[in-house]
Amino acid sequence: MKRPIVETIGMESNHRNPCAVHERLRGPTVLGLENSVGIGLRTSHCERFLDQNTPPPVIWLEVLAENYFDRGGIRHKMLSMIAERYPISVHGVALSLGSPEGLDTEHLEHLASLVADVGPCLVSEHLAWSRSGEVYYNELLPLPLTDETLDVVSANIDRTQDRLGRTILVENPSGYLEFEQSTMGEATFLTRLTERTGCGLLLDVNNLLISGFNLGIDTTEWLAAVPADVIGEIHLAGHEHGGTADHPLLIDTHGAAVTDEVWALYAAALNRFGPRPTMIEWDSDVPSLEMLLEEAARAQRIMDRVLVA
Amino acid sequence: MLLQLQRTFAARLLESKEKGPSPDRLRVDALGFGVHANNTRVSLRIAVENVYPVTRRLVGADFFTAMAEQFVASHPPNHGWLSAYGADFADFVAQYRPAADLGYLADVARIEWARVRAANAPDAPGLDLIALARMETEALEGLPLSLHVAASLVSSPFPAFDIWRAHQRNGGDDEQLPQIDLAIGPQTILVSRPAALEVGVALLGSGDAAFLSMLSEHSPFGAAYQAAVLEEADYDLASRLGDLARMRALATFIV
Repeated sequence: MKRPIVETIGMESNHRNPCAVHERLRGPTVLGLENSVGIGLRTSHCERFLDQNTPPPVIWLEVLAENYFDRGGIRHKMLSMIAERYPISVHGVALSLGSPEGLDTEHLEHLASLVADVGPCLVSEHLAWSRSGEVYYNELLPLPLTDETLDVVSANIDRTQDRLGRTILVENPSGYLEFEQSTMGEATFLTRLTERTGCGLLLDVNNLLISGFNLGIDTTEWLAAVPADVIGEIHLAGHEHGGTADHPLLIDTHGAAVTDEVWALYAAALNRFGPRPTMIEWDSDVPSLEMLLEEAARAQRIMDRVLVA
Repeated sequence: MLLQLQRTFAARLLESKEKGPSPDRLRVDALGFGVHANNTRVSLRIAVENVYPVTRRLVGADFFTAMAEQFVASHPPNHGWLSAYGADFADFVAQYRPAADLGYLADVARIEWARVRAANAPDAPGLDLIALARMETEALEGLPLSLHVAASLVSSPFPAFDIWRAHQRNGGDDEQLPQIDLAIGPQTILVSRPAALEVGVALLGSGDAAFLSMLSEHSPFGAAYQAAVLEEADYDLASRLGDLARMRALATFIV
């Protein structure tokens, strides 16, 4: 895993090869979560997870990192209590790894504090940008897939991994538009990113399906192109139909049940990559905990079939 | 190139729908750009909505959406974590022309923001009454007590507490709302975190209101007590301090 020399913009000069200085990507077997399905921890369900007598039957939980950046107060306290009983995965949505301006140091420090407090089993972020100048847009915005972008994202991942002292997983985006400037496909871009930084990938099956529909990415080719050993986690979620009659779009909402197409692509992904820690992501119009657990059980059944076969 | 591309892209994200979205120079698909622009506007508006549910009910969903979207466009967040986003919404509401008739609206919003602040504030010890009792009278007089980091005072010329509380109790049914006489006068509200997992909202008596207002403006203990007595001649400091300490209104002090 030798990193090529990067010629551009001098962002990287201070960064060593992260693989040399911190823990390598931990394989799912090491985590003990390889065959298990988790769910997202939502505020409305927190009290159920604090119930000593009937703790909900789920192996692990994922939290949105930025919801817990205040190092004190009620949310942080609840998370600390829940983290004593459940393995926690920390999923960032706003670090803006695609920012050529570099990472927001304060943001990275908050993330590092959270990781230090919770001791998560997994840490993940997105292939996206969400900040420009002083403004934060609260949206995972798309990147042209070019060598320049690869340099920028690699430098930001290096800095993140150096600060956290561990590797992170980077999630594939849900695509709604393409840039003419792009010079490579998503699978190639993500694979090169893992080679450059030692990071792993979080495969969001719903995002892949959406990008397949909206942008014409061949999902079978995508699954075949990405090396199995870099996939550290899988996300499952629902989506909605949008756009127009002439130009239909699938839209990622995290607000509905996992669709049959997503289940089918999930099975294909497991057949290709092997079992991976899987998470049901449903964070708008949050349903009952029971509904989330049912979705998790369905994912577990699919994973179990792959394990038997 | 990426830097410029993002600036061009970002510049159009928070513009209103009517102006038509896609940034021409980027030659990206307008419909796809519209999805990102819509997600940006709606998700930030919902972030505001989640903090201000009572304010929203007071004006109705459509009015609130218009008001919150204007706020988002003119006050976009500066941080990737949103726990501090919306802090200046109450000031925005106070200046928002279409709501000019609803004088109490901004104060209700201030109560709602104070609850978020209380929930997210760092953990810090409250006032130590035993240490306070050990102090010499003279030292006590000049003691600069301050509000606890999780505590806020909201002073309203309107019965803002009654309005806020009425919307906690009736489960969202406007038919059941009590009539509130806006002329019943000013109310001062204490919002604090009395226990690790609990936010409290309390209507203060006039003595407590004067006492805490003076302390929050950094007046010393003696002057704050005198202000309280001016409001309530029989202000019982020992018992009031006990209650205020239980509500974690006051920070610990260092002599």
